[in-house]
Amino acid sequence: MKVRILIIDNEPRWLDFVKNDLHKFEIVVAPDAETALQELKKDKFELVIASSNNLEVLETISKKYSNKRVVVTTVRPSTREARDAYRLGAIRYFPKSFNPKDLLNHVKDVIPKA
Amino acid sequence: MTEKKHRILVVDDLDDWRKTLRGLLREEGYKVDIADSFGKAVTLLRSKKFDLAVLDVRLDETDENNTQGLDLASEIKRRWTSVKTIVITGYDNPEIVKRAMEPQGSGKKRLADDFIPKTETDNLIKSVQSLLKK
Repeated sequence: MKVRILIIDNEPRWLDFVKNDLHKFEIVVAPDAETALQELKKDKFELVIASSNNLEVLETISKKYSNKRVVVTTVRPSTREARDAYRLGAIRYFPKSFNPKDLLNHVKDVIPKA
Repeated sequence: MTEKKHRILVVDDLDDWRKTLRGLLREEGYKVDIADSFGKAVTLLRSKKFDLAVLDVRLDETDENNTQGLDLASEIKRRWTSVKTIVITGYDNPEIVKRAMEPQGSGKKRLADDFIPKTETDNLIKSVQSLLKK
C-alpha cells in the first residue's frame, strides 16, 4: 500500500512539481484549510505538507491529530514565519525548491519507512 | 502566585539587553540572574536551581557566525532537563529558528521551548508565563 500524503496548497506549478517528485506516494491535494480538515477526517495520512499560507490550519491539526507529522513549505522564508510554523507543531520548515528530489529527500527524512 | 517565585537565567553578551530583560522579568515578579557568556551561565546553572533560561543566540557580537546560545541551549537540555529554554535573537535568520525549534533525534526534542525575536519583549513575557505554567 502506498504511503498517503496530504498537500495543503493551491499553487498550480508547485502542485504539478509535487505530484511528479513524489510520484511513488499517494498524493491528495487540499486547496484550503477546510478541505484539508475534511480529508483528515476521512482518511489517514502519514504526512501533511502545508503551504505557509495555511499556517492557521496547523493549530487545529495539532489539537485534533496530535501525532500527525506536518511540514511547512514557504516561498519566502522568514524568522517569524519559521517560529510560527514550529510553534504550531511543524516538524520541519523549508523553502519550496523545484530541484528534483529536494522535496523527496525531506519526505524520506521525516517518514522513516518512505 | 506561585509562578512569581520562579528563577530565570538571562544570558546575553550585550550589557544593555541583559539589564533590560532582567528589569522586565523582575517587574513581573520573577527572580532573575544574568550572565554574559557560556561559561558564566554554566557556573550559575551549577550553583542555583533555575526554572527557565532566556538565551541570546549570539554570545559574541564581534563574531557573526557565533551561535553559542544554541550550544548553551543544547547543554541545558542535556544536563538540566527541567529548565525551559527560550532562544532570542536580533537577527532575521530562519536557519537559526530551524536549529533551535526543529525536533531532533529519536526523542524528537527541541533545543528551545520557544523562539522570540529580540524586540518582541511583550511576546517574551507571555512566553515565559506560558512555559512556567506548564
